[in-house]
Amino acid sequence: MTTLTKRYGSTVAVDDLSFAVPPGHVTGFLGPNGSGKSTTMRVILGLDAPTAGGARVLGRRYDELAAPLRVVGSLLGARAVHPARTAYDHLLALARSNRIPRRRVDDVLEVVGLSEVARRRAGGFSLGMGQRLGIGAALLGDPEVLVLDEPVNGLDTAGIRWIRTLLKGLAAEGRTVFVSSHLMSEMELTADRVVVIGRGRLIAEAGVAEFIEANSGRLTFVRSPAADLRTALERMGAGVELDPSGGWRVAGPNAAAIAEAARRCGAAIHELRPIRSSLEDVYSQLTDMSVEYRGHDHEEPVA
Amino acid sequence: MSTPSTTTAVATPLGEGRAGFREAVWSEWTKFRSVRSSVALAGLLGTVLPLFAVVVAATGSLQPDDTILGASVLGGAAIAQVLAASLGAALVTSELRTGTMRVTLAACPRRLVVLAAKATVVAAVVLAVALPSALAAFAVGVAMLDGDSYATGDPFPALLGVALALVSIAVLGVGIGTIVRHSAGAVAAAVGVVLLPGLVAPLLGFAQRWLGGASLSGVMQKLTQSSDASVEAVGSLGAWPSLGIVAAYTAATVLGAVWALRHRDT
Repeated sequence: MTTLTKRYGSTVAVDDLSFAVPPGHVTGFLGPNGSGKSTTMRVILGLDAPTAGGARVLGRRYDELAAPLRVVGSLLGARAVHPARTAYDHLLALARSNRIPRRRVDDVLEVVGLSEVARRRAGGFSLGMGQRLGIGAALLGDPEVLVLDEPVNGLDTAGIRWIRTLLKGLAAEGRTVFVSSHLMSEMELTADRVVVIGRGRLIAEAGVAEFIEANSGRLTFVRSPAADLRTALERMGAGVELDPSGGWRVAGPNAAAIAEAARRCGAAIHELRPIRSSLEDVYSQLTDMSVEYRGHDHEEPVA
Repeated sequence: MSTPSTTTAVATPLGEGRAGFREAVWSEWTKFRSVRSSVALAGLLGTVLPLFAVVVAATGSLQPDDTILGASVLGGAAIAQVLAASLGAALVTSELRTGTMRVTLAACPRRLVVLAAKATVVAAVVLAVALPSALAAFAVGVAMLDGDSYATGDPFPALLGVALALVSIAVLGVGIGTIVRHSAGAVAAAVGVVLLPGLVAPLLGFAQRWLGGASLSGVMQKLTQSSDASVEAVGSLGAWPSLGIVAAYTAATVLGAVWALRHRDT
């Protein structure tokens, strides 16, 4: 649960942001680059001092936790490890800081698949291996809450599938899993809830299905040889756009209403189906107005 | 890489947890001994004093009124101070550089505990290395220099004081490293702390003895009863009270570092 503001000089990175992350779910934390995701996560972990407000984990401020690693496991970017230290020693030092038994280090190395390279220096690790080590560090204290910043970065397909299963499993065990990502398709598969921010402000906080449903443009794909139908639909107030694949994308009336209209003007219909928005579509529409640095212009969203 | 498993079930019972000072010291010790370069630096620190004692004794580069104790210990003292400071600073700057500090602070959010643990580990390491090293340097001097031409000097507890002075600058290095944040900057600052008093103090007239007396080199000169330790150069305060002054500004620097670590983002 958070209500916080964070400023760097006159730049407001996080502006009066407030949301809750419930246990038993994977909650995706979404937002464009520079929207304040990492800052928010650092504030949760007590690493950045908020200008106003603050974050609480299980009702407590982070620095009030007696053994933080046993409550909150965190990953803030890969490579947060001394390159000359072995994976084993990195985890051992962390384990000792919270009085976690040494054998747990071996368990965790097994879980993240680094047992065979445990005695190798982390400097020689690939990005994906570094990411696994970071996830191992997060799991070390068997925490109830996980805060992971971009955990799929640098992982290959197998690694991404692994982490998806892992995160869902952790949530199914009743843990709170809070994951940031810029990969919408991945989040759609992994998360069941989302918190969306833009320019440091909350844009949405909802279940993934509910979020897509509420923000979808209600588009229907229609393929028909009859130009009359298009005129008829437009007369009904529908927005009709040409789809690159040849048909139309109709905004407004649902499939039943379109079929009725086709029957009335005697038009044949070759294809008629609702277009389901993806998380990415909805996210792009919502964050369009709050994107800080726009790469390039793209099609006007159909709404 | 082996195939990662997706079970997170805890095979090992985790017992009671705590992230206090003892745990932090354990953790810092594990980190220290698992990086080869810091262990190597500590080893180098151990060889500097006896090595320079050999050089000084072999070349006879000491004043007629100097003590054997002073001549054998002071030769490598400045270099040993810089090494000790670098060792302390590296404990912090290497973590800031690699982002490991975030992991450390997430595991132990209390900044004072983290810095105190780092200071404790570096102090223990430097004491364990510097004391035998100072003894060895003195032994070299006694063996190689003519005891009839030079006063021996009183080695105890002076040699312990020399080791403690090196402990002090190593802890100062932890503080400087935290405040300056970069290895190169921290080492430069440490070199400044070691060498500047000797360069600047003679320019200050009556204030020379104050600056000289509170400098580490001044403290070491007093401890070893060196001929350099004239009242004009380093004041009339005794060796141990002077060491107390050094310990006091070291502690103040570390407290400043705690403040910086609390109020800056990592």
